[in-house]
Amino acid sequence: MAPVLVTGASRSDQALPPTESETLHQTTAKADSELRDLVDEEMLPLEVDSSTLRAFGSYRGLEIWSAENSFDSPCLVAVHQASDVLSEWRCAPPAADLIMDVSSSGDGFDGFEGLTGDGIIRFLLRGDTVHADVYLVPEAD
Amino acid sequence: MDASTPPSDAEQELDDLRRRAYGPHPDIQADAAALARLTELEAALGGSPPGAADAGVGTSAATSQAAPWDDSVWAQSDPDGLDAESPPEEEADQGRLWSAWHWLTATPARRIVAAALTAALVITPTVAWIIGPHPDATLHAIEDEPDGVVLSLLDFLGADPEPASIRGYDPYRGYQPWFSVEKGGRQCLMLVEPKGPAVDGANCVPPGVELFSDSNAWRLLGDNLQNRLPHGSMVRFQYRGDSVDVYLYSSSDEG
Repeated sequence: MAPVLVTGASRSDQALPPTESETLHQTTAKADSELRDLVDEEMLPLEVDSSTLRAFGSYRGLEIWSAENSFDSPCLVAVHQASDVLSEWRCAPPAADLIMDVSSSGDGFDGFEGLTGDGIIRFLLRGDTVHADVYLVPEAD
Repeated sequence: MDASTPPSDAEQELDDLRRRAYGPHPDIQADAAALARLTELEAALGGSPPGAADAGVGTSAATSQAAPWDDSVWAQSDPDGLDAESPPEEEADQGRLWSAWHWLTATPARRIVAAALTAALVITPTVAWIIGPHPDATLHAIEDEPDGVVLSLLDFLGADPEPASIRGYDPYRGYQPWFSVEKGGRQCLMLVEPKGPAVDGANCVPPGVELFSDSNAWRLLGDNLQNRLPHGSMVRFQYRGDSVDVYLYSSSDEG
């Protein structure tokens, strides 16, 4: 089920239902040194503490991790498994909904694994889980 | 009930509960179990509560004596005969709604429940609006056409917008949101720092998906236009069509 309120705004303009949704749970996987180095390097301005990386498994070709930064803000990281690069990352102060939109195009992407069509996966950190909604651009008539 | 017959235990219990519900100092609304028992006894024993008519809470014989889901209530719920021309399914739906309402209001105890439900339905959205987040600013669409800076930044991002779709909004703390629709159908919101010029945030989503763009204040990126906010803070620009709502999230705020 799609989140009713995802942007911290009381009014929702959401009209397109997600193509599919998934809830990702934390796993016992540990970040290896390669991933920690990647986070330290790519996310340097965000001041993420790579020792806090927690795994949430993979979804549609993306490995999802959470972490904290030096401002005590939670962060989300998406690793594109096929290329081992960081596809997207976001940090938000605790008072805000932490939302990370990953696009199906650009940055070496050629669609999401197992899905056809152009769109995004919207990841939302919710406590100990990460909610994922897939939204695809409707086919033209 | 025959006045010469001593009341049964159930009738006595009903009287006691009715006093708590309709007496001068009603307290039954705080006692869910008692309220449920009153409803149960009124359904089983029927009758009007003492003084109900005087208190203006009496009901017609048709509603107060009708059993739940009694078809006779449906028949009397359409005094204007409007339902006679309704399609059968619609008529059935209306009948069920009327029947549910009549059942809820058939006895004084149920009316208390109905009032509480009605209040909850009215109050809940209001409370949600009051306690929900409110924008720190609302930016309105401007009449200006996109200038060369905006167009070059769109080009730099590899965007392919429909020219007529590009629309700007009032600036906020040095940022100006620009909305556009890609030829592929995505809707985009780009945060432009005209003084850079630079793009500080951009997001594109399929049509119908909530569109926003975030900008964070990172100290390692030097002095930026959010310098009145603590480092680590975030500004969220939420697209609303004719306007863009702005939400400030300070890194010092608790979650």
